[in-house]
Amino acid sequence: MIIIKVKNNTKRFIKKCLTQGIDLYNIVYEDSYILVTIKESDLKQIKKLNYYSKITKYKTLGKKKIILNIKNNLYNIFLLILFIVVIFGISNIIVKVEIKHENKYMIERIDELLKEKGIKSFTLYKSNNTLNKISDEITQENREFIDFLSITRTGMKYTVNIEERIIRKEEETKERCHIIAKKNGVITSIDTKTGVTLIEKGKLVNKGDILISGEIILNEEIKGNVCASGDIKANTWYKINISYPLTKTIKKYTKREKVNIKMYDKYFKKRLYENFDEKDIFKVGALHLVRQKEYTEETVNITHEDAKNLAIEEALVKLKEKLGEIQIIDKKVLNSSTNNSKIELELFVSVNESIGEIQEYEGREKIDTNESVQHTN
Amino acid sequence: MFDIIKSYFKKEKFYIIITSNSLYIKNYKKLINIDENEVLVELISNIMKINGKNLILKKTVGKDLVINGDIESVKYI
Repeated sequence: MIIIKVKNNTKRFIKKCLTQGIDLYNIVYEDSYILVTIKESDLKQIKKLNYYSKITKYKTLGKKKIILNIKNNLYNIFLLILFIVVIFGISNIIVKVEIKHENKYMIERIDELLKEKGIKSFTLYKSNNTLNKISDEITQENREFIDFLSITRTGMKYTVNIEERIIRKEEETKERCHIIAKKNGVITSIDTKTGVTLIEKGKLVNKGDILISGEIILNEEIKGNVCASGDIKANTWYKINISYPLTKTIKKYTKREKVNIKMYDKYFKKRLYENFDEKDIFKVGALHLVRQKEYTEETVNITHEDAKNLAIEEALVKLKEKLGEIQIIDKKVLNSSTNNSKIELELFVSVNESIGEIQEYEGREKIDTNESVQHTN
Repeated sequence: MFDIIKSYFKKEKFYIIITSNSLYIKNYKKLINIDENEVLVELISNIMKINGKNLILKKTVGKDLVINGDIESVKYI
């Protein structure tokens, strides 16, 4: 069925249709025209009969209208379907599996186990029951190194928490040991747990001196032996030779920057710039949208004073890396010279550090009276 | 409506239904004339004259006719 618009000689039009037996299902009278509902198959005949009237198709009704609408809006319908699919994807697809653990090796191992069970990026999410079942299975199958494993879903991400099973080796218990000085120093703090303290604060000790004795002596008799333990701290000193260049390389940013797409360390636009810094704008799983800023490297001269300070800083960092937990007490430049665009320093550093180390000994029945007494109260 | 259905099954030759602002004629022969104040309809054995105001032809399907408007009188001539 269609609606036609008839202009000019509308009364004649109606009469002609009536005499020809053409059905007019609905007639709407407007100021200068009428809208008439007819069968689409009658349109040709109507136009032929009523050549004196201006007849145009106004609207299509029924099933044909629906089909016509779909054809006209195919692009919009496609976009709508695409939108629905994207929304479905966003709400039901997992894009990241995050495993929370400090050990990289452990993370890799767990990741492999999860992948075997279907827990990986870019898959449909699983229900909580399924996740619990999978985590129980993994824990059961890998009891030797997993104590507990849980998988929870947050948005488009799975978070995996693991408790590692750590089997501690029983420490060998030593029966007899002293704490001796591993280097020369002046004692600053004494914290004895077991054994007899033989030194006091402010005393200068040499390498090898017994600081805490494992022998329990009373009235010049050895009453017992223990493995001495405790923490002895002392001020020690080091001489460090270090050289540092009198130039440094700095980054100078040009005004050029571009956006690039990165996936698994591969770029969509290859080699935009030789040197660049990169910042994430947006990321979904392994797909990153990044901004790359170009820079050039320039070598500039630095002053003698700056070079000296940087050299001292570097020396102290290296010392801390080597010795572990230490406190820098004092530093002094003993000698300084310039050689081939480098500065060379001889640095004296005083630090406070733990100097005790365990030394086992053979037990003895009695004290040798010729030995010098080292006891202090 | 029940009457319409009844008459359909009875295959009555002709009937009219008058409402407050419309007139339905079943099995008319020919629409002789229609204007704002008068409509002449030829039936099988006589002619019907409808008087009123703002009379318009609303629908014609097969042998059925609907006239809208303020119907004042309907008579056979």
